[in-house]
Parts: sequence; C-alpha cells; structure tokens
Amino acid sequence: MPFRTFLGFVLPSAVAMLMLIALPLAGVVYLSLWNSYTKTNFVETTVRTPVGTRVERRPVAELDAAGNPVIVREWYGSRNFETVLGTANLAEAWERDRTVAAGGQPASAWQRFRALFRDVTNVKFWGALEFTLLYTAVTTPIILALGFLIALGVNSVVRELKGVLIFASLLPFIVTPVVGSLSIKWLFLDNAIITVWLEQLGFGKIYFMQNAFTTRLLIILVGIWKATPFVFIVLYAGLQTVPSETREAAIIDGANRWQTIRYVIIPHLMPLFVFVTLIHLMDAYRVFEPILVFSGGQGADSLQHLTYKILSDEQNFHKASAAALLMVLGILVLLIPLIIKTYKDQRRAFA
Amino acid sequence: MFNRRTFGLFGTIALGALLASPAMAKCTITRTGTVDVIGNAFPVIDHIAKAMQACANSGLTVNVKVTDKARVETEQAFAAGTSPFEVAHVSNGVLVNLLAKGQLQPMTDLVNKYKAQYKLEDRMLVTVGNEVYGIAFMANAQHLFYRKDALEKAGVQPPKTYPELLAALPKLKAAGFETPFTAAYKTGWDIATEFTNIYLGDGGEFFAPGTAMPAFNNAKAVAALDTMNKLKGFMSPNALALATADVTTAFQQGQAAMGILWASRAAAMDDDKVSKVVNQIEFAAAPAVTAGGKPSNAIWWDAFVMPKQMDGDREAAFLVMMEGISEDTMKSGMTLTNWLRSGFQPNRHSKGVAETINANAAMWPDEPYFSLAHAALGKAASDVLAGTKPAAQALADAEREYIQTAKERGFIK
Repeated sequence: MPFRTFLGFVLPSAVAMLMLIALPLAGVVYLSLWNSYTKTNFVETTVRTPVGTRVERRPVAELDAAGNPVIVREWYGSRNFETVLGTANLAEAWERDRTVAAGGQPASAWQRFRALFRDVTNVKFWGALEFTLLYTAVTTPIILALGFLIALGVNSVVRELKGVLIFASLLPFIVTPVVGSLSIKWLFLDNAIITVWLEQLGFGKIYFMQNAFTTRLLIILVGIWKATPFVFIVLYAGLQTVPSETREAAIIDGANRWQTIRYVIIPHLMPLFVFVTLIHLMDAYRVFEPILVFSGGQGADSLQHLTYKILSDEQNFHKASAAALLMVLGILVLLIPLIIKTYKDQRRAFA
Repeated sequence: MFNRRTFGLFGTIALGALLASPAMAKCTITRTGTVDVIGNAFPVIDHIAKAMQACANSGLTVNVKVTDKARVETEQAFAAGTSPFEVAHVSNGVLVNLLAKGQLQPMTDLVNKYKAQYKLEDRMLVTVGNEVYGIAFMANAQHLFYRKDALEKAGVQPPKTYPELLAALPKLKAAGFETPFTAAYKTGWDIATEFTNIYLGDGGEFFAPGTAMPAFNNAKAVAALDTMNKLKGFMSPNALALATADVTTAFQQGQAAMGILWASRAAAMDDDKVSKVVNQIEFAAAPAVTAGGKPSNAIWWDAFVMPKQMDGDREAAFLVMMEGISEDTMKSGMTLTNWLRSGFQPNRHSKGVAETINANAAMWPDEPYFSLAHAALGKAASDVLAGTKPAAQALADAEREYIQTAKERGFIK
C-alpha cells in the first residue's frame, strides 16, 4: 500500500484521537501537577444581607489593576496524588501498634489484618477502590451468564415474539443512568412499590439502604439490571452468525443441546465474550450514578464518585484531575490480561 | 437530531408556555438577545422560571434550567472563561463562595437605574462594601414540621427543645408511627447541614474568630452527633439515604409525625395532588438544644446573581431577573415561599421561618471556607451515625481533612 493511501486511511482517526483523547489527557496530567486558588486577604468588610449588616474580618479576593481576581498558581508535583492516595494516613496506619486486641489479650493475625484493613479503607481513595473492585468482580460474571441465557432464550422463541422481547430486554439499557437510579431509589425506599410487594409476599419490611451490606447489594443489583441488556444484544447478534452447517453437523454427530452450546456456540462467540468483558470492566470501574443516588458514599463509594466529590465539594480541579488519573491507571491495570490476550490473538491471526 | 439538553430546553419552554397562568402579568422587556438562567429545583423557582420565560419574544430568547445540581453547575459555570449562564439563583452559602473567588459581577449601576421601576427594597440588596452583588428575594430555613392530629392524639405538645422532641417520639411510635421522625440525613451535604443546625443551636463555633482555623472538634460537636444518633433511632432505617425530596414524600404519605424540613417545601404539604395530609401539618421553629435557647436552625436567603465573566446583554439579563422576582410574580405565587418584599402576606406555611427569625436564630455560616468544613463534616457525621467510627475519631478526621483542603485553597497558610 502506498504511504499516501495509508495516511489517507489513518490520518483522520489519528487526528481525532489526538484531539479527543491525547490532548484532554495531557491537559488533565498538566492540571494534576499544579494547584491554584483565588488570592484572598482578610480585610475588615461591611456586609449587608437580608439578615442584617455586619462589619467583620473576612477573606476578600485581591484584584489586579484590571479589576480581575488574582489567581495564585503553585507547582505541586506529586502532592495532589499523595493527598488522594492518603500516603500520610497509610504510613500512620502501617506503624500503628496493633499487638493488643480490644479485650487486652494479644491480637491474632486475623484481628491485626482486619484492623489494618479498616484503617486503610478509612482513607477515602482505598475505601472507594475496595467497593469499585468488588462491584466489578461481582457484576462481570453475573451479567455474562445472564446476558447469554437471555440471548439463547430470545433466539429460540418464535419469530413473532422476538421484537417485543428484544425491546423489553433492552429497556434498562436505554434509560438514562441517573433517571434509572432515581426511579429505582423510589422503588426501594420505605413503603415504595417493591418494598410493599415484598412485604405482602411475606419477606417482612426490608430497608435496602439501611447498612453497608444492603446498600452494596442494591447497587450491585442495579448494575446487573443496567448492564445485562448490553451483553444480551451483543451475544444475540453473535448467535445469528453461528453457521447452521456446524450446528447441524453437531446434531448429526449426536450432540445434545448442552453439548452444542458448550462445543459449538460458546467457542464461536468467544471473541464477543472477550469484547463485552472488556467494555463492562471499563464501565463497571466507572460506577457512579447508583452511588450518588443511593449511598452518597456511605457503605459503598466508587473512584468516579470520589473524583466528583473532590470537584463539587472542594472545587479543586487539580486534585480531581489527580484522582481521575489514578482511576485511569487502575483501569489499565485491570485490562492488562485482556489486552495481552487480544494482542496474542491478533499476532496469531496475522502470522 | 436533538441532543438531550436542547430537547430538555424545548421541553421546559413548551411546558412554560402551556402552564403560564393568566394571572401572570405580561412581561414587556424590549431588549434583544439570549438570556440563560440556572436555578435550584424547588416549587417557587418553577414559578419564577415561568415569569422569566414570559419575557421571551421574537427578539429575546429566555432559557431557564431548573436542576437539583444547580449548586455544582453554577460554581463550574462561573469559574469558566465565559459563563454559559447570565443569571443564577443561589443560596447565601453559594453566594459567599462565588464572592470570595471574585466571580460575581457588581450590579450597582443597574440597581440604581431600575430600583424605582421594580420597587427594589434595601433589604433585598446583598451589598459588600459599596457594590451590590446579589438581589435576594426569599428567606428559607429548615424547621419543624409536625402532624397536629397525631400529636393531639398522642397527647404531645409541639416540642420546643430536642429533649422534649426525643421524649415525645416514643409516644408517637406507640400511637402507630413506625418511623415517627424524619429529616434529610443523606450522607454528604444533607447530613452536614443537619449537624450544622444542631451545633449552631448549641452556640457552636466552626472557626477561630477572624481566621480560617477550625474550631469544631469539641464537646458540643460530640453532643450534636449524639442527639442525631438518638433521632436516627426513630427514623426510617434508610435514614442515611434520605434526601430532601424523600423527606417531603415521607410527610406527604403520612409516614412521619415530626421532622425537620426546608420551609420551601411547606406549601407542598397542602398540595392535594400529591399529599395525603392536606391541612394536617403545622410548622414551627426548630427545637432548641436547651430550654430557652435559640432554635437549632439557621436563616438562609436566596438571591439572583450575575457572573463576572459573561457575554451578551447584561441589562437584558438583569431585566429578566427583575421580572422573575417582581411584585407581580410574588402576588401570583404568594404562598410558595417567604418573599422578602414588604408586600408579602405571611400565611400558615411561613410560620416556621417567621418564628425562626423572631427568635434570632443563627445566620448560616457565611465564611467562604465553611463549605470545605461542611463537606468534611458530612463524611464525619455519616460515619458516626452509620456506626463505623466513634465521634471523637470522626471529628479528628474531619478536622484534618478540612485543614488540608483549606490549605489547598489558600485560606490557611
């Protein structure tokens, strides 16, 4: 292929990737290395509000000659990263003496580990990482299995029903995440439809947001509800491409339904399983809306929510950038095995 | 294809046109251009949004975005090179932050020009030094909501103090309320606000005077957390997930007998389309911490502001704002909030705020670094109530977190 033709194919996407991925990423890296704030001085100020007039010493923004606020920029280097990771707290947690348990007797190794784990997850970043990983690890296999089962089921019903079933299965996928989480919160709160229904079925009053366990369970259930349709639709599309010759050959050879699935369909769909796993790992790692709506971070926090909190509560986009980068780093680590596998497959295909 | 935002805007405008009540006076602004407004989602803001949208004509486009994420969006927008919004509705808590960052536009000249035409009153003007930075239009407070019928049936007087309230709750529980108390204890902003109310009611200080150094790690803070823990025992077990909207629903559905809620939700109690307790809820100042003390809540006020960095016609923006909070808008929505204009006729919904102001309740802390302390305390209070940390450790952690963030923002050297 002439180089010019090659460029003609590659250049547009290379430019798009540079503009939309590389430049923003570089911007985030740059921001994370700095700190900035509006310079204020404590000045005696008269403030008049509807509640009354007060004269007090309070911080007032310093203005430059043009009347604009003076912004202080400081080189922070790795300091934002250290703050987010809580390195100082981690060092303290590591050095804390845990040899004596609450009752006075020597602490067992398990007790010491648990105390250390509690202190480490008390640092917001590590607490958020703990649940983010748990969420990713629990939801991934379940949505793969559920999505595959639904795909097989829909694939085997009569043609007339397929359209309706596909639409119904895709519904959770279409609902905007925040709307989905909010409406689900209203389903699971006190005396909401589902809680009343469960009570009538004899399960008693269930409070889904009462502690870490129930909150985590609810967030994971919502995640499964939300992500399964994606797996379903990809695998369902894949099922349409299973060659009928192979399937018929398997039946002639005496394979039962399970053996056909195990030895014909699953191997055929393997690349798609890898694909949806990759996408879901990235999605699950960014879990955000259910955390925002259900827990606000208590009992279950996520790295994405932590970044949002830094941005919204502290208005500190430097530290938020550092948190976002640490998160991206985590996704890369999670994806390494799958990337290596894809790379090997590709090399084999072209060898 | 419409993206979601355009679609939402069209939807809001269409809805505004449909719902514009005939009582709404005609807006006659002759200026042209586009005015984008952002506001927090609660009933009176919807009403104001309609008044503002009535100003739209062939030459003037008015977009009003009403969202419960207005605080976050406004702070981001005003920090941008050019703000996408020319007018924003903010609470006093947000206004002081924007002011300390030098992001608010003085509107003194416009106020002087239009003061007479729009009957602006002095107490509506938020003034720092000699410049007007905001036009306040309503007072707000979180105060006591209680079911008159339920209290009478249980033989309980409306509580004046938290000990009285805590003594009344078991009786209400015995009278059939499984979760008699409710308040917005959602982790983060909501629970921090409840903590602030009770701590202020006890005379608590957040900072060493004249500096940004924290002073909230003390016995009064521990006591406030202890009171909250006791109250939580009478709340839904979902307490730490309850936001303002959920508390409103709990009252409307008749699940709660007493609680602390925003005054701006009082009118919604008597909305027979969504409420089962029309005319049964009464309003009072929040209970005091000790007998004879100040109510444990703070006075808030809401204002409209303009960003320093904006394009477009600032006069058009100011006039749309004026129409939104005009005397006519107040008259057609008299019961929706506690208007600051002197023509406001108090009604049963404004009793809680009136009692709060008359009792000289504390003002909501207006130091620009308070939001940082508030954020740290939101985590601490939630950890204590969830039982994952003792109060002393949680407060120490919050103090450490606050000092770190206040240093990053240049308030502590």
